[in-house]
Amino acid sequence: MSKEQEVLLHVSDLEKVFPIGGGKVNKVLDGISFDIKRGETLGLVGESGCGKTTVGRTVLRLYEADGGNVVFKGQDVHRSSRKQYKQLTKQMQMIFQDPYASLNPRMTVGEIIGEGIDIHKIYKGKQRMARIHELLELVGLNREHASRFPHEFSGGQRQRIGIARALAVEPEFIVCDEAISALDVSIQAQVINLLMDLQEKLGLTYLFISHDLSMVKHISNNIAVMYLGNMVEKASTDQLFSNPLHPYTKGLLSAIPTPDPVYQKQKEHVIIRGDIMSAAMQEKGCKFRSRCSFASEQCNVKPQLREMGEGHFVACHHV
Amino acid sequence: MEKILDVQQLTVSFDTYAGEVQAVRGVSFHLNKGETLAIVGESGSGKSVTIQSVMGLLPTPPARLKQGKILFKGVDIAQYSEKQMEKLRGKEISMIFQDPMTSLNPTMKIGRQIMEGIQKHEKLSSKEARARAIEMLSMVGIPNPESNMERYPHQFSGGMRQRVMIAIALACNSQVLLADEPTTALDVTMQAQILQLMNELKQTLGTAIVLITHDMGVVAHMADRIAVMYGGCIVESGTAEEIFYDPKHPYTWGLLQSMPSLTGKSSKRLSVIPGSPPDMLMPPKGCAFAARCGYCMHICQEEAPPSFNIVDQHQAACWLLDPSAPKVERPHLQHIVMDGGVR
Repeated sequence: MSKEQEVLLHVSDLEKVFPIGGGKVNKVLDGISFDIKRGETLGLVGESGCGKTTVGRTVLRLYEADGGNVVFKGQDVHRSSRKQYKQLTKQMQMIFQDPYASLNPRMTVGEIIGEGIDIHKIYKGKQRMARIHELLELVGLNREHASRFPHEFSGGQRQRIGIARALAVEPEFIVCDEAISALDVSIQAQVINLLMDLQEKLGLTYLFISHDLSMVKHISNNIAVMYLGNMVEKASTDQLFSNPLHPYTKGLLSAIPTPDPVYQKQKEHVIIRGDIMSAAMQEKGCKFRSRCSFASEQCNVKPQLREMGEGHFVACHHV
Repeated sequence: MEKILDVQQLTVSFDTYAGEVQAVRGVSFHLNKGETLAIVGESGSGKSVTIQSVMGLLPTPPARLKQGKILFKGVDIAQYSEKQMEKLRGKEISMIFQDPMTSLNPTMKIGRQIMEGIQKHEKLSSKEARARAIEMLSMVGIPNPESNMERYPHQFSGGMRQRVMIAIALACNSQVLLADEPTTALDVTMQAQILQLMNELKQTLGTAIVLITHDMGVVAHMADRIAVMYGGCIVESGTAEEIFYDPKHPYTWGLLQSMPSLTGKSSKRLSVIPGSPPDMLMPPKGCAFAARCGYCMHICQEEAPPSFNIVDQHQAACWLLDPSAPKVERPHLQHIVMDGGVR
């Protein structure tokens, strides 16, 4: 099946710099590259502040990139004209982290979902309303909900509204930026299942950004691990969990508490000590070396991503 | 074992314009010396309100303690005046809050914030208090404690701030530490560090901990005993082993099943608890979980179930445990990694 193999999104050497005053800059993304194939999900994980949200936003050109390319279906996102970009936004959508802040409290649910339909002039009049009702039912809400306001819904329901809004323009690619982090465990599972059902039904492609490795495991085909603006490891989900190579990935996996008290108390914990390093030290070398138990002199040189097995990339001198 | 904290039939309501929100409805639990009790449940289940009423932190009005006793070392502190509570807070019972970003005072150096509690409760000179504060900072693993005394909260990362919070809480050797989602705002790596620190401190200082969380993984790591809350009531309680390996309440089953398993095979779909938590403005007449329960019977909607004793301290409030109820097979629990638990 050649369709499955088609690369939908190709990101290479993406860089993003934010000025932090006094002429100084903070390099948030330092050469990020990945591909996502059609119909697949890439999970992007890392600690807060590692730049994963910036990746999502820069991919959609909500931020302008300071280097590198984002190619969606053969089209360069950052070098497209205003008109071309508008066409792209119809195909690329986003689901935001905070379902409380990302819905306009003064608009009804119907207006929120219909906004994209109007902008892209997809449906009008009766058809538009029918489409809104269809979307609401698709995400597990009722058509009566269209005339209500966001504050009348619970967190899980609001996230469903956010998903319906993203789906309204019939996109092919959706960035889920911590889409489940603000929800309770039992509700998280509901939303994850919904996202997976929709992927199957509509053939969607996801970039799933999260700090929760156990949830990412469920939804992703491939996982990329980020640390301070660099990609440190990239592999298929099974590979990453069965054979993590980078010391940071190992620590990250070990830090997730297992819901089994006897096992949890017996298992060996690789605890990542310390804090992320200062900006001055980040200039060169491996950015993880201040917290790494394997750090040596070699690590003052920045490691490159190397392929260690089929599709398993890691950036570490000691692997 | 000696009970240090004993909460009996605690009932707390909030009077709002929309009506009475019955946040906590008859909660009873106790805490033994030197142990960790975890209270788990979804948001809105009443776990934070329970713990805040123990600490006497709820603003009255709108909050109202309708009934119940909070016995601390045998004395009912629910009847204490604000002045009496002030002597208790930070000295005998301390609290760590969820969000280390907002619970520290941004205009005070952290050294001052730690000394504040010490000087309030103990007759120490500021020099001695300062020495104690420095000692506390190094105990919770903050490097260069002396120079860090002079820094402000915004100069620390989230994990470091939570360490400062713990230092403040333990500065006067409290015997009870109430931790309200202490690691929810932190990354997993920081969470692992803070949990380890709390376990170490519990061992060296013998502090008893009430830990509130919704993360069953954190519970497995920390808890000796567990109380599961739903809709303002404790639906099941028991030792960690009993709750994880032999849960009896359908809500506990659902909670354990909706945890994605890291080690097991990833079955494609996660099992979910359908629906959403009850509205505490109009709590259901019968069992609070009935509307979401796959095993719901007629009686569940009519009458709230009593607490059934299973063994020793293992209790669950579910009609399925009634002798005349039909026998129900517990669904497969995929979270168990090791066999050898109680079966």
